[in-house]
Amino acid sequence: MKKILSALHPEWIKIQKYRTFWILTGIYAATLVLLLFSLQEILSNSSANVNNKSSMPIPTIPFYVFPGVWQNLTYIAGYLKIFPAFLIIILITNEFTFKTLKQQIISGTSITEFLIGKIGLIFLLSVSVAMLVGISAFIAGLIQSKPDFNQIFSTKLYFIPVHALELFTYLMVAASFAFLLKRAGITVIAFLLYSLILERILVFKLPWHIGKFLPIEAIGHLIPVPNTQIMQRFGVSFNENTSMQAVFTCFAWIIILTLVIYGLLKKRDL
Amino acid sequence: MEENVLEIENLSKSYGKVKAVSGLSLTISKGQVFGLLGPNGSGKTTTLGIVLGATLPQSGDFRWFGKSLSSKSLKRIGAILEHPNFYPYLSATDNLRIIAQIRNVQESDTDRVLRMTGLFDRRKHHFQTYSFGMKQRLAIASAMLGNPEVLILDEPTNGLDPGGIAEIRDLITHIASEGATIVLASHLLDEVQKVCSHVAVLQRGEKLFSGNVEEVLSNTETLLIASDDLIKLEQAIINYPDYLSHTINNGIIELKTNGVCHPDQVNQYLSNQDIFCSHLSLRRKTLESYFLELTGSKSASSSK
Repeated sequence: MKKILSALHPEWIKIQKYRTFWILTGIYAATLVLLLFSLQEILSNSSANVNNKSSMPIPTIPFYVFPGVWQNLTYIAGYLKIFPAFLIIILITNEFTFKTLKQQIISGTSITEFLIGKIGLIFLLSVSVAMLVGISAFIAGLIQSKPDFNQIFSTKLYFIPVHALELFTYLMVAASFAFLLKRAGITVIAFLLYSLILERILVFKLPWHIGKFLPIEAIGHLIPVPNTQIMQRFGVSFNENTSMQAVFTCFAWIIILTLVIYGLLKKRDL
Repeated sequence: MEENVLEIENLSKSYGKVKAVSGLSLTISKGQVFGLLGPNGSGKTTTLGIVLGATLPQSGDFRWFGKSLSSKSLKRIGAILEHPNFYPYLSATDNLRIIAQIRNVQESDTDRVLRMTGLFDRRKHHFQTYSFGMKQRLAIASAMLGNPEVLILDEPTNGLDPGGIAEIRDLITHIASEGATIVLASHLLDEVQKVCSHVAVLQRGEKLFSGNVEEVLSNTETLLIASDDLIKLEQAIINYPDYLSHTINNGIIELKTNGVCHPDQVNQYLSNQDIFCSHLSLRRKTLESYFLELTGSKSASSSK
């Protein structure tokens, strides 16, 4: 534990007075909270519009009702995870652009300590965002539904730690691209290409029993699409629970990517 | 026996077809101020990068304090390598705090090294606002954090003005007098001659020479003698016990002796033979002319 703290301290000094980091974090956090709190309005609006034209009545979706709110909000928050990925890419590629990784290694940081610092930061960021989503969901739920402790602390609360795992795995993939490519611009482009297009093509082309183990695909199975009444009305029923296989796949990716990054730093001139 | 701080054995590293370091062996002992000399691209920075763990060698071995490289041994070494590398958006103090944290040094030590390098008044300014000379000073300051046993300085006076160069030279001499071992890579020979006790000369990744600076320079000493009777003088000189060789240049005999040259003894010897000098002076080549001779440059004969 002491080792982790001493590896995290330099990381804290690096971001503490880094304006770019805090501005981007602020924008991201504000957007996230704003999005989560305006969902009901957006959805009600669109279902009202649809109702005007549809012959079939579409019910208003109770978005913030416990315990569904835990899943609804973590699912939506997942769409914004590209922003913390940018933050992590910037923080890692900075070390190469400013050549400060080299300076830290010759000053006596071991590659292990350096990695503990960076992965620790990724972990803390994932947990903080998941907590922010959790607090938002809690508040939104309290405002719009009757507080019922059995409903609030239902098993669906586990979507908050699962969201942290989603972010952690996703950010580790982004970090791997950053360590591999070293430059911010090219890393962002390559990461977007891979996560948005390339992996989908791969999943499509590969047999399903292999494709489902690809990282972005596995991350997508952590929080299933909320099974709202509207979906049920259309006769679609999604799996309501997190796939345990996806959880294990994500943990496996975290370990694999950590080892890959470690090997990359060990085998390469700084 | 002297304690070896750094032993390098048969180190090699190529970048594609270019051999940056080729079969280099060196030993640096405790307390030495060791100059690593060579023109640009001779492999100085690559060598230092390897021994500091920033560059991987292709073959060969090296040991710090008798052991292979570890982050523990690196904490005993303060180093600047190539350009100063810091976070541009952080102040000098914050940049040094990061290094202090890594090296397990008290954060208060940052003020001491900032004072020593003359940056204390600008310590709260962002690194990106610094001039190149100030960035270089900050690099030197970070290397000195926690008073390391060994200082590795790669071109430390790069980008400094003459006043700054003199200050850094005094600083190096001061640190050396406190017993630290210093490795100084430079292409500025005058610099090395002024501060170093030992020197190794590199060219195209190979070691041309290494040894004690005093010895190098005393081997190049020439005694310039003139007298009214040049023929008699020449005859006497050839019979001088430590005679090695001589040349005559513009009526002045240039004498080389075995071992260290003693003008007083030569003078005594000549006057015993009733030869009185009209000119007697000791000329010592600079490291620069010696270096140019070694590296085979044509301007080798020009000595200051």
